Amino acid sequence: MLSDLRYAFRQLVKNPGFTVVALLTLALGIGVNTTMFSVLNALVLQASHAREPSRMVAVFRTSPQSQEWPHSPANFYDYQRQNTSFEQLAAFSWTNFNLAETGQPAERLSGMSASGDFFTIFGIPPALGRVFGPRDDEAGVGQVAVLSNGFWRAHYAADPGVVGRIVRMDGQPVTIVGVMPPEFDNVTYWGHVDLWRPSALDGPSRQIRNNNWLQVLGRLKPGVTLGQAQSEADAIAGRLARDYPQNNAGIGLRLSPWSAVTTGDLSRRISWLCMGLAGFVLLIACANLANLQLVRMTARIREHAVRIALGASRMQLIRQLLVESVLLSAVGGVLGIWVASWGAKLIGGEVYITGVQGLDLPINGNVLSFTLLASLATGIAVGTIPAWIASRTDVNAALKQGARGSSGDRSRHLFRQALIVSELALALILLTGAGYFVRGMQRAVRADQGWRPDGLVIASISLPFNPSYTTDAQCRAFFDKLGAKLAGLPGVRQSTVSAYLPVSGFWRSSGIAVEGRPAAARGKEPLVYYNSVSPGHFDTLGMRLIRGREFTDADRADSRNVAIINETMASRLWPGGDPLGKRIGDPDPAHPDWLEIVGVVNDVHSTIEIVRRPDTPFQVYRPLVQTPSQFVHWFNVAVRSTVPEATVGSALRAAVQQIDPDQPVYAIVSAPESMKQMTGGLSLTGQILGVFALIGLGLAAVGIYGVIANLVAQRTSEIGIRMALGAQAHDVLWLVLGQGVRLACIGTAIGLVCSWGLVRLLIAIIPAIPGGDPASVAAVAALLVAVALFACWLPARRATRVDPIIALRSE
Amino acid sequence: MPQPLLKLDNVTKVFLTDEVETHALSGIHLQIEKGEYVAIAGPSGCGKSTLLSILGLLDTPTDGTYVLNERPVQGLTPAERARIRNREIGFIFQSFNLIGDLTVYENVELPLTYRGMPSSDRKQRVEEALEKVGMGHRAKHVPSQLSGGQQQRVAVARALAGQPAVLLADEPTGNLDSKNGDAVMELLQSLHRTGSTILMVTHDTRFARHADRTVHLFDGRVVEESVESKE
Repeated sequence: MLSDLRYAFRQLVKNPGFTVVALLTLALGIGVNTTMFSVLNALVLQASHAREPSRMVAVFRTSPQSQEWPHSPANFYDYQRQNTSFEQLAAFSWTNFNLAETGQPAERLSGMSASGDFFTIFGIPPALGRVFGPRDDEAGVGQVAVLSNGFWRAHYAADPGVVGRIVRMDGQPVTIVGVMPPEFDNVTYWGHVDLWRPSALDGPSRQIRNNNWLQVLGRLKPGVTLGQAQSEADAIAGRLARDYPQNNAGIGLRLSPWSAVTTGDLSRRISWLCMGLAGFVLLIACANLANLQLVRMTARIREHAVRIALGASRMQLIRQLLVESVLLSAVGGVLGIWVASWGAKLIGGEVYITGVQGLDLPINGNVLSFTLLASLATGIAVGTIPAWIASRTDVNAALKQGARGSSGDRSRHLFRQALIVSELALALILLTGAGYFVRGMQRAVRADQGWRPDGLVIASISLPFNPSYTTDAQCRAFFDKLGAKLAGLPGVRQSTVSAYLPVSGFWRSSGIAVEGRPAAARGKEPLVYYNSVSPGHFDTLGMRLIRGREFTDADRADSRNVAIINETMASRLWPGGDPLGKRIGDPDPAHPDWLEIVGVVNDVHSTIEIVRRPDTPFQVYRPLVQTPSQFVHWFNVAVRSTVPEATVGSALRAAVQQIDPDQPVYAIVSAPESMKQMTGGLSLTGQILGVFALIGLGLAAVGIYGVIANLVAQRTSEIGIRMALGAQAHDVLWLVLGQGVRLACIGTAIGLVCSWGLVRLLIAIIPAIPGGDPASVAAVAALLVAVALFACWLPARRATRVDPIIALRSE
Repeated sequence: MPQPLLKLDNVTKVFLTDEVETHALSGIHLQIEKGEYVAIAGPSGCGKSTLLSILGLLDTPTDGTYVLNERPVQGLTPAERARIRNREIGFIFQSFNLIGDLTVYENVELPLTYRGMPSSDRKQRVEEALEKVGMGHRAKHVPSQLSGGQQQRVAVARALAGQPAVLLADEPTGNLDSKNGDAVMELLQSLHRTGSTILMVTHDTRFARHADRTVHLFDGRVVEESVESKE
């Protein structure tokens, strides 16, 4: 084996041209796959740092409308008390905290409120201090915070003395009790988080059953299976539905392994898709290398014959050739790791998860193991068939003086042609996939979404739940002042304050009852998305009022409760009728809180719908001032202005500071830029697929060039004879080109059939991608054929320059 | 009664190409005793190389039997044939067929490597073989650094290293000038004197005279056998 290795190394050094081309091909093929595996590893496969992660389970509330809804506090505490499957069960929710320290501008922090067992479930000890527990979660106690490692480093310069420090958060003194280790800052768990605080819900809040915002996570007891826990959850859901039918009828509980929910389903599917398509790049690289190996086998046919004559068994010969191939792929693997470290940095910097741009994609043990396996598999795949063919060398023919080949030439040639056809087909699949994806995304983003993002600057404000903003009146006062300030900002033509903007979509939904109609079964009521908006909202966003009126300043908190609905809701709930004047309300007959419909506007589609199908097409708008403040503590501002975004941002910040210096304005960005961020992951996917396609196309072009060039070399004498007999240059050109055209056509035909499957897969993964785009398929097929023909034309042109005298002399 | 080292009985070889049947060998009877030096002579296309391929287990007869060292070998599997080729037969080719990327030492060592022989034993055998052909001082050279005559001596050393039962030489002087050709013939002669069994294919009657016996082939048949008188 050692001598085989030594000989293999010598072969690589002796053939620098082959070695360089092969190593480049391998570096690209293995590098692309290692890069994608590092993404897959980080997003999907990475082992959680939590203790026994297999026992961690997410619990969702389900209804006919959605399978992934959050829970109300009362339902959570009932479930926590009644279940016997979980060791611990915790609830958490994303929230924002306003940090105001002496001498510093107010700062908005991303955080989480969690119940007392939250950290116990993960079993990850803090890096400094302590985590909070059930005692901290009691009402009136929880004035503590645990910092994320990233925030501790960025904000406190990793000062260990931060533990015990008291800071002002949401206007209240809060003690920092601990700092979590870096592995807890896992964006795939919850995006970017600066700190965690206990929920510390008071008694009345723990009784809320009609408002659901809590995510639930648990750790199963040892030996309890997910199935057993699910059965118990079903029973508890049944009891809750029976005991509290107004809020829980038709509602279920769904348990899912925590590992399955840390990465979004779409991200997971896209990661696997990209991994699969990266595999195509490696397959093309393998086909290219196998082709190169076959050419080398032909050149070394006499050597193989000698070895066989000297008593080398078939296995010994195959082994020696496989050692060469595996050595080559091992070196290619090392280079692939270098390519991957570069690629992972590039892709990691562009990944956008839950509001966080940038994901660390480490080349760790998992990734290196994958590379090792990929390299070995590549070496064996590339070497086996050429080695097998070499082992079948016709020794007698090969040993004859001047022998050029053996009876295996024809099968060898057919095999090489089959490899090229496969390469071209795979390249076309990659090209079609990339083209369809990119074009589909462009069409989806450019489709009319029912509002006009151009020229719109948006920002977010989060009012704290502290004594300054406890009552609806306090919040309304803030909105009134803000509205007046916005109107006075320089260059502002229109402005709005709203709970949600179409960029990020609507996040509050509820079932409704229609006055005068029989009540639907619980859980089967029409589901609507709610948005709360200020007067001028529709005009500011460029929406169309179809019927009735917009909200005005006359719609006050103490006036008649009104609503504006979208076109689809109007046509579905009042087909052929007029919804104006009709009333909708809460399905609870005791508290319907009727809203009179005063207008109908066009549907809006949020950017997020490209990646996530909405739960309902129905949209209901309410005046901001008529909305209970608990639903609008977090809200958005949109300004249509004639001045640059930065100027608007500064003016906006200054305006809010004048109202309340403790309130930061964050996420100030133009609407188109925000949309770009929302679809950043998909754009990145498109770019990745594009790179794959280009690499695949390049490799396929090199492959077909190699085969045709080799054919020309083999047929030089024949070409010489033809020219001696009077063949013109164009006859020779077509003779050679014809072979390439045949291969390109077969490869394209097979590729087109397989591409159809990939397109169906893409549409299944991302429903927003519009179907039916024959133009892009035709374009990429034409591109492939053109590139293939160019690759064939180069050796064909060389064939036309064959000197018949020299060619015949060599014969 | 001692059995011959090689024995062919009524061996025929027919090649079929594009429905054309070519009888390369027809009814060959041949015996070669241990220690004998036999030349196979005949014009181009008479079947010399085909006969040598069959004797060297590189090819199989269409019909007839072939006994090597008292063992019928015509029906063996490819793996068994490779093993016998490696242990019992040493090849010397007209075009030397040294592997250009291996050193002289490694070329000679190659058949022993396939035998799975320990490194120390291989070293001893290789050095002995190279000394025997007078090429010990060029062990670290690669074939391209040697003259044709030197390359053929290395090829002889490679054939000898495995201590085969028989050396099969296919036109061993065909690619050499007369001086180097004579030297190689002298080398084979000296090997024969030390007991080696040699079977040499040649079309040059001058070289055939070095053998104890010459078998003349024509159109795939043995047409004459002559014994050289040694004085």
